[in-house]
Amino acid sequence: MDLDIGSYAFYIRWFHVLSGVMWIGLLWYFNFVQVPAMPGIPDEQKPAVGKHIAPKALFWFRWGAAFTILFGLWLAALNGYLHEVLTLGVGTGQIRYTLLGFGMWFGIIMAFNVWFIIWPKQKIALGLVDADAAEKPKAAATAKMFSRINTLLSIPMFFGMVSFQNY
Amino acid sequence: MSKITDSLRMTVIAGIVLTVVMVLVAPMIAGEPESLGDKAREQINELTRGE
Repeated sequence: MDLDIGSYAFYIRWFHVLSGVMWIGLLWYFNFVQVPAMPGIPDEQKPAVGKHIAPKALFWFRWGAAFTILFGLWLAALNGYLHEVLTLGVGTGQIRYTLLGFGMWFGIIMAFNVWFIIWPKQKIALGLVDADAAEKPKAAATAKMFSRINTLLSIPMFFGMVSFQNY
Repeated sequence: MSKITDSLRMTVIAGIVLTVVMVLVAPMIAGEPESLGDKAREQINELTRGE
């Protein structure tokens, strides 16, 4: 089997989608399942989520985000439209570049939020690093707010990604 | 049966609204598409230049 540039890009797209499902699947798990379920869980059972489930989910969540961006940028470069989409297709007359560009920038902002806001704040909230007890609820609230922002952005982000394949 | 919370519902609605806004502004950012006719005319002009 010949591994030409076309099929090479195909495998990079495959890894991009696999990483993306891992990332956004866990983002939606946190927002649609874990966070709404927490108030109904008895206090003595809460550590099962906070100490065992959440740290493991956050591991796959943040690395899923990193690899999604890495494979996504790689794919766009291989396909020769990285510059066009990162500049939102301004003046190209091709709406698909603009929509994919929006999707890519939303994805980049979301990955930034994961690595530089949500993960550091979750480490404090879950007690994975030393911090004042008073700081924990504040960190949890910030992490939750940015997680919600990412859920919001994931909707237009997916539209941009999918629209490129359907033009 | 799990019920969607109000804040989560607002998040999803805001995401859909942002998607609509994105679709509406995209043609303005991308600009006018170059028609095949324009492209062909340009190429003919280039080929017949000086004749």
